[in-house]
Amino acid sequence: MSAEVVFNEKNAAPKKKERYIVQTFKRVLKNKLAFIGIIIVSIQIILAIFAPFLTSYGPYEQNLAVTELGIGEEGHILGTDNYGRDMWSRLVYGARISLIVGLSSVALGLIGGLTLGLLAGFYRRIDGFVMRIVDLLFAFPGILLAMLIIAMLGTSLVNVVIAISIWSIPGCARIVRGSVLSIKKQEYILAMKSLGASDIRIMLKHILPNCTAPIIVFATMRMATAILSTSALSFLGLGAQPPTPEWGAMIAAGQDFMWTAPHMSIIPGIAIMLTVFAFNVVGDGLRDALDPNMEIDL
Amino acid sequence: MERLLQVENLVTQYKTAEGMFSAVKGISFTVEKGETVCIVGESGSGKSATALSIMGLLPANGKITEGSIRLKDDELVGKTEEQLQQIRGNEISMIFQEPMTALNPVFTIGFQIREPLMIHLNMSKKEATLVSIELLKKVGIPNPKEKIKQFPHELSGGMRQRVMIAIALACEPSLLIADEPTTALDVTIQSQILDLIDDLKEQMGMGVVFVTHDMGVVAEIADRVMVMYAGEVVEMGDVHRIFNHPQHSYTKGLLAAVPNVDDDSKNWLQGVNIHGKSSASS
Repeated sequence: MSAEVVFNEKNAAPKKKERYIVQTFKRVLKNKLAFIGIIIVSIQIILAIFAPFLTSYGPYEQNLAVTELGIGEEGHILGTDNYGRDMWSRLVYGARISLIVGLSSVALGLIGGLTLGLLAGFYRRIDGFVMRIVDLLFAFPGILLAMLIIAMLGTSLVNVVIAISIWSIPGCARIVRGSVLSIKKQEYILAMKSLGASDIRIMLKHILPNCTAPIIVFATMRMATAILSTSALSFLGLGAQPPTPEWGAMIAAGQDFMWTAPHMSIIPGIAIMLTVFAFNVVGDGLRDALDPNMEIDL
Repeated sequence: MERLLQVENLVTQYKTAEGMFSAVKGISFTVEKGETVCIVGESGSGKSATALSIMGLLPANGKITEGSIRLKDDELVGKTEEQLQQIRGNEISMIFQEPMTALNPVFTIGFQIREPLMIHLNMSKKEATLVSIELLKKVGIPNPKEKIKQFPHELSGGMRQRVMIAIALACEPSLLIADEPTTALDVTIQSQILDLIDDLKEQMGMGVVFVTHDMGVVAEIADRVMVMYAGEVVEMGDVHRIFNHPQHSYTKGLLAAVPNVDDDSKNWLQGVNIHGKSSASS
C-alpha cells in the first residue's frame, strides 16, 4: 500500500475479511502438489464439459481406413484404435464418464453414509446396530463387494455407480459418526436444546455443518477410489460395455494390440493414473488446509 | 406476588457404575414472578443438576425419579420431549457458564439469535434479523448491525455472554435459569452482566434462578437464597437474613470463605455433615 492511501480514512477501516472458504482455498494452493492436482482436475472438468468442442471426431466414429494410427499421425493427435476411432475423442468423452460416475457414486455414498453416521452418532440406542451393519460392509474387500452387487444387479454403468456408492457408505458413516459424537458433547448443542430445537433441527442445522471438513476430505479422496474402481470394473467387463469410451474398458480393448498399437492401452492408463493422483493430492491438501490446528499464515 | 415455579420434593438420580446416585435429594422451593432466587453451593452440591432438571435437559444417564416441577401450574415432570421443546426457549430459557463454548463456532451471531425466533415465533428470516438487532441493542452490544455478521470468536467473553443472554431472552421467557453465567468472566464484566440480567428481569418481569458458588454474586443479585449441600437444601431465606444471620454452619462456612482484603487469615470452607455440624469439630 502506498503512503498516500494509508492515511485515507476509508482505507484505515478494517479490511473486509475474506470468507473462510477463500482462505482455505488459498491454503490449498500453497501446497505445490495440491496445486498440480487442482490443475489436473480442472483440466479434466473442462475437457468433460466442452468435449464436443474440443474434438473433431465423434468417440464412436469408425474409419476402417485409418486403424491403429500412432500418436500424431494423419491429424489424429493421439492416434486411432483398431476400428479407426479417434483416441483423443474417446479419451475426452471418457473423462466425462469418469467424472459423472465418480461424482454420482460419491454423492450417493455420502447421502447414505451421512444419514447412517448422523443417526448412529446422535441416538445411542441405534448406534450399536447401525455400526455393526457398517462393520459388516467393511468386512468385504471393496472390489469384491462391488462385484457381488454387480453380479446381483447385472453389468452396466448405472449398477457400477450403485455398487461403488454402497461401498462408500461405511467409510463415510464412520467418519461422520466420530464427528457427531464429539460435537454432540459441546455446550452449544445443549444450549440449542435449551432453546427448544428439535433433534432433526439440531442434527441437520447445527451438527452437520460442523463436520463438513472431514466430509469434504473424504469425498475428494473417495472420488479417486471411485474413478479407479469404475475403470477396474469396466476392465474386468463388469462396468461399461464396448463401445462406450470408458477408460478401463479402453485398456481392456487395447490389450490384444499391445504389440502393434500400445498407445491404445497406455493412453487411457495414463489418464486414469493422473486423475487418481490428482484427486488424492487435492484431498491431502484439503485435509491439511482444513485442519484447525494448522497455523494460518496468509 | 404471582407464583411462577414450584419445585416439590425433587429427586434427581444419575445412573453410575456403582448404582444409582442421587444428585438432588428431595428439594422444594418456589420462584415468584420478578424474583431472583440464587442456588448456592460447592461443586457437586446438586445445583446444576437442579437447573438441568427444571429444563428437562438431564444427560442420558440422569433421571427425575420423584417430585414435581410446576411452571405456572403446568406440571413439567413427565412431559414428552416434544412438549418440552415447546416450553424450552419459549417459557424457560437457560444461559450457560462458558460463553466460549455455548455458541456454535461455525455460525454467525445473527444466525444463532434467529434460531429461537424462527423455532418458537415462526418468524421469517427477515423479521428475525430485525428482531435480533433490537435484542442485541437491548443487551448493550454496540453496532448490532455489524455484530450479527460476526462469528463468536471475533467477540470478547463479555460480549459473547451478552449474546447468550440475547438468545435466551429472544422469546421473552417467564423464567430464566442462569447456570454460573459470570464464572468465566472477569470481575468488571461480571458486574456488568449481573446488572444487565437484573435490568432485563425488571423490564420483562421474569423470574430468575441463578446458580452460583460465588457469595459476592449472591449479595449483588439475589432476592432469596437457597444454600445446597450434597443434594439437599441446608438453608433457605431472604438474602439479608442469610448474610446477616446464617443459621446453618455450612452457610456460615461459605460466608467465612469469601476472601477479605483486610484479613489474610485463611478461612477454608470446612466440610459439614448434613445435620449442620462442622466436620472439623466433630
